[in-house]
Amino acid sequence: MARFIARRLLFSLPVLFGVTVLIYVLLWFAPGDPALSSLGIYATPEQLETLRQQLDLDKPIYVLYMRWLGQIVRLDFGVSLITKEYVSTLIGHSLSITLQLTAVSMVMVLLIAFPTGIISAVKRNSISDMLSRIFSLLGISMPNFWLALLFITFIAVGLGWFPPGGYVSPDKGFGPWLRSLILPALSIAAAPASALSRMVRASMLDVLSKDYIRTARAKGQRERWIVLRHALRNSLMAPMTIIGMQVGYLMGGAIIVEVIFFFPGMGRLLLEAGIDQDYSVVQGVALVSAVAFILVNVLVDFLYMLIDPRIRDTA
Amino acid sequence: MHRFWWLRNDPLALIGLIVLAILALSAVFAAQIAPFDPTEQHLSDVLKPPDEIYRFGTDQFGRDILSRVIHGTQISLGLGSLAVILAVAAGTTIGLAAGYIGGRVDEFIMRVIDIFFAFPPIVLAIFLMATLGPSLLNVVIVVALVTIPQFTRIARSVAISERNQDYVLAARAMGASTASVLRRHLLVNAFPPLAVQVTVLLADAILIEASLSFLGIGVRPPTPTWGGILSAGRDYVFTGFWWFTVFPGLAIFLAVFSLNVLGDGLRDFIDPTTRPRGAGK
Repeated sequence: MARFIARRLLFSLPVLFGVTVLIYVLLWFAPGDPALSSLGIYATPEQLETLRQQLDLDKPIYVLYMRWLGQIVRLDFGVSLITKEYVSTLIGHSLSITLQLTAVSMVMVLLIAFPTGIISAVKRNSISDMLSRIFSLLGISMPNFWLALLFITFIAVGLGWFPPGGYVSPDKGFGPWLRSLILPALSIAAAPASALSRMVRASMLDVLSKDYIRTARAKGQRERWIVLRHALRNSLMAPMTIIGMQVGYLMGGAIIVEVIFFFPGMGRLLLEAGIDQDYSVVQGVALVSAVAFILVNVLVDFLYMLIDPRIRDTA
Repeated sequence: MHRFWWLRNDPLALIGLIVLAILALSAVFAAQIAPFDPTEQHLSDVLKPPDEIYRFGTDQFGRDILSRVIHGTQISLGLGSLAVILAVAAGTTIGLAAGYIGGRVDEFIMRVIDIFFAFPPIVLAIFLMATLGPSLLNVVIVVALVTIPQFTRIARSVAISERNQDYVLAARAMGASTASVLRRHLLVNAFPPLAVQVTVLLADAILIEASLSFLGIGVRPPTPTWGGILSAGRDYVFTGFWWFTVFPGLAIFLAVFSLNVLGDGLRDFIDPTTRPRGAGK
């Protein structure tokens, strides 16, 4: 099992290397002058020239890239050109918030998608099936940022059930923390949950029509036992494959929705840095999100392996 | 017309097509349909709720939100379509070539594609916008770049499954060049799965453009875009000006929804085996 994870991590190294090259090369060609954005427009040409030499902007790109690579493997992402803070410190604060939001919305996706999908399939063509299918059909096309605005307008401000924005740290208690996360997480989770619910339903229906289920029924086993014991595990396979992809959408969703709910997460960091042309921060955030995404996908593969013994045995 | 008969048995896809047609028409005839100029300010009618004159209400400058939403259709559908056309052209060429040629070329191309897949799509889009700088053309380029990998993967899988088929081998034996095999034989086979993907990815493209404009790094104001109107309306959600965000968002939702159901219908039509069993149709 450890070998499986080690091998998957090893396989992602070339991709990771490619990611660093892409990020570095693209930002190299980006408009704007790092020295200028650091010193501001009133800097004298001499000051700019000195800073450029300090930043080694006159060296060839591969030299700078190799040095940058050497720094980032030691988790040194440099210093923000604007706030002069360490990029790793900035990312450390905001990554935790984005990951909390992503994780809570992932839990919501699973809590919504599996029960609705399974009930829909088992009680096919019932009222609850119809309702869940209508909701998932509409939900799948729901833009997360619009849903977030609707939640704020009608639930947070209109009904006053949840705070309309602002992140509450878990130090202040589990309840307030969760309350601050519910609306943002639900806006992110709606579309992926709808897609997954449809997939679970289709997969469950497919499995329930298999011969071995008919055999189990013929043996006189109770329906609940058949669904939970025989059908569920096999019907998990297809939906599992899209969960990994959905994590990307959840992280992306978190980055947009954070901005709406005034969460100081990666989204706000990336956006502000992008607008200020604070490239060391942009580099750091882009790289860390890619790494997080890759790691999560390894984790999903691992879970997939736990469910499917065929993959486990070949690994 | 017989090609569209399948729509008769698929009411949802038909609805999707009709909504899409309405949106496309309002994009083309925006100037004729819209009751006001989308940038015309009525400073005595600022933040008015919907009434007979302003059906969707007005924004913080007294501009008619209905007119802005109608004109926004041009950017959302137009820019999205342009990006997807670019992405289809590039992605299909790269994917077919990679799958057909195989070997190191394929290996190299797929590793590059993997790099693009290593980012959450919106992070990649924000990152690319930050490097390219905001402009209309750059939004098109970024949305195309984010969608190219998907088309590449599909085209590649078609090329791989077809490249050793007899008809391809026969064409090669008769001296057909690589370019000609790709164009005359593989492209035809790639067409059906790509058509499905075009509808789905056009929905994605519209969402990405709207997200970027919403975040203020896409299409710049005063150009009316759905994401842009939402972005301006964001400041007013805490004070109950609901029409400012409800209507532009509804437009995005309708566009994405109609493309999604149309894509589902197309997929079922092209390959009935992928239809979820007992889908109740």
